[in-house]
Amino acid sequence: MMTVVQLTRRFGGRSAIQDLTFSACEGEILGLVGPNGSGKTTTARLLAGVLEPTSGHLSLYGRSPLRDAIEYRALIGYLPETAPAWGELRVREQLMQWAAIQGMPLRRSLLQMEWVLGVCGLEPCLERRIETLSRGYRQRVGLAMALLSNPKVMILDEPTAGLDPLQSETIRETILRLRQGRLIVIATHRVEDAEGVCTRLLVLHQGRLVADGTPDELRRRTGKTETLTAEIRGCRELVRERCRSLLFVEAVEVGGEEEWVRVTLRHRRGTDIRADLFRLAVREGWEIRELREERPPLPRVIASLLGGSP
Amino acid sequence: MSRVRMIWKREFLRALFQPSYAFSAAVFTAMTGLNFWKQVHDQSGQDVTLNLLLFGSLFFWVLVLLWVSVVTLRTFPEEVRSGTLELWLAAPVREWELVLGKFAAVWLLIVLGTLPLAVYAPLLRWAEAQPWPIPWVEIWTALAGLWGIAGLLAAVGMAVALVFETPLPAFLAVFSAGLLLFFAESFVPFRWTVTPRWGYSVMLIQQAGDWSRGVADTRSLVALATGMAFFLFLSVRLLQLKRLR
Repeated sequence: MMTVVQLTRRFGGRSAIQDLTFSACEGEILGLVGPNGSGKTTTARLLAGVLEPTSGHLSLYGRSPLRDAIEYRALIGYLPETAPAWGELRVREQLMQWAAIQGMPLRRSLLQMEWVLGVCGLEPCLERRIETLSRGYRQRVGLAMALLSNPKVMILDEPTAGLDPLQSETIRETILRLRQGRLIVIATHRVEDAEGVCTRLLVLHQGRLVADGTPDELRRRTGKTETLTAEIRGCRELVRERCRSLLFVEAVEVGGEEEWVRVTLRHRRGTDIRADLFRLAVREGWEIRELREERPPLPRVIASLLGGSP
Repeated sequence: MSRVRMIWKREFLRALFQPSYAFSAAVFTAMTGLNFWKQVHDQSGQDVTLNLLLFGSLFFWVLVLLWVSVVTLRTFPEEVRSGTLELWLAAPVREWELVLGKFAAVWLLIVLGTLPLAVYAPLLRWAEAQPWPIPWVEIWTALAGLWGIAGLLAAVGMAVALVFETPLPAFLAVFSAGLLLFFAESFVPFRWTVTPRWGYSVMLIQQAGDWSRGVADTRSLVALATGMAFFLFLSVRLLQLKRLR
């Protein structure tokens, strides 16, 4: 559906994006992550048709932003980085006028507006001027504008920038609700925001794509081992000894209270030892009250992929 | 063309209800009114037509240029400043539709703001309490010329304003470009002014003089229309260039 082949964008002599290649389908929430200056915003602008690429190919449902500019842009809902809007307008005016710019007939505009107001939670401020709204509500207006034409693709540049945790969570929930039947591309430098929202991450560094995968796939690419933590009622030494004998387990640490032993198992990357541990517990007559996989935080994974400390 | 109409309507209504437009139009009306009053006062008893008193002074045209520069700023520098130009560039709208829509809105705002000039003559007659015929044909001809010249200045302003990203430098550049067009006569060889042929086309001050006397010259009409078309085309190309910058 979205195909990007060797997309390159230069500003003067400097490459903001170099040979970016990927494809994506509807239903995906694609996260463009990376440090400042890695080319996220440039990529978002290229995908939205705001900028033209220096070289490379980009298409949406077979439409090119150069050859079929109007049809291409009609497929996209775009929220720029600062969620700009005409501040002197009321929310209702802004949305109605934007619908007209999108070429929507009045009847459909009204229906769509009703829908986006509900999705973005804008009903309380329908008659308020945009310049009087809080940052969070202005961001919602931007999101509503991007969503108004019910686009097949949404490109959101830093949708939670400058928002407090509660507002960020509201925006994230809204994005998740919009996932059905469309492709959403989110450019963000806040990796923690991408986690739990994005189904797939493209990690950019100095304009190049350094990693592409789901958050779990990216985790598996960093570090040689994974960690499983369990709380088991049993003899501490026996737990240590038996767990060490499990297949793929490379190291065992025990601690915790006298009765409940907290055991941390480091096992080889890409293996799942939970079933083996359960079978062992049944065989030995142990009780397990907690079992969880310790996953390294995504920011640390991304830092590791970018060449920083894991 | 429906998108042009929609953009034109939107931009016109948006600007019309802005306090900044009302304020600048009020200042323009007050200043031109004062200028008219001063011209009437200074040249009383001399053989000068009403049209020349109203439109004939250099100060009047500098006021027009200043006001057109202010109104033109609404087109692109403010959009760049507020970041909304990015929304336009991502919208399913062609560059020429955006330029034409915005130009039509600015031009109509200028027309609207200069309409009070038509009231000055009846006001003067009422104040003097002497019945004399109002030269409506000359006044409307001069106004039409003013709208044509203001249209050209607005088209130049849009093109120049697209180069600058902040309102103040854009205003200064638009004003300077307008001054240059008005006083091009001072920069060209003397013989052109004596035997103006194609040189007339670029000399706004001469055109303004003719229109002020109520004379409609087809050369001026062609020059203004061609100039407008050229600068609008230039604006479209500059806007397209923003996608490459």
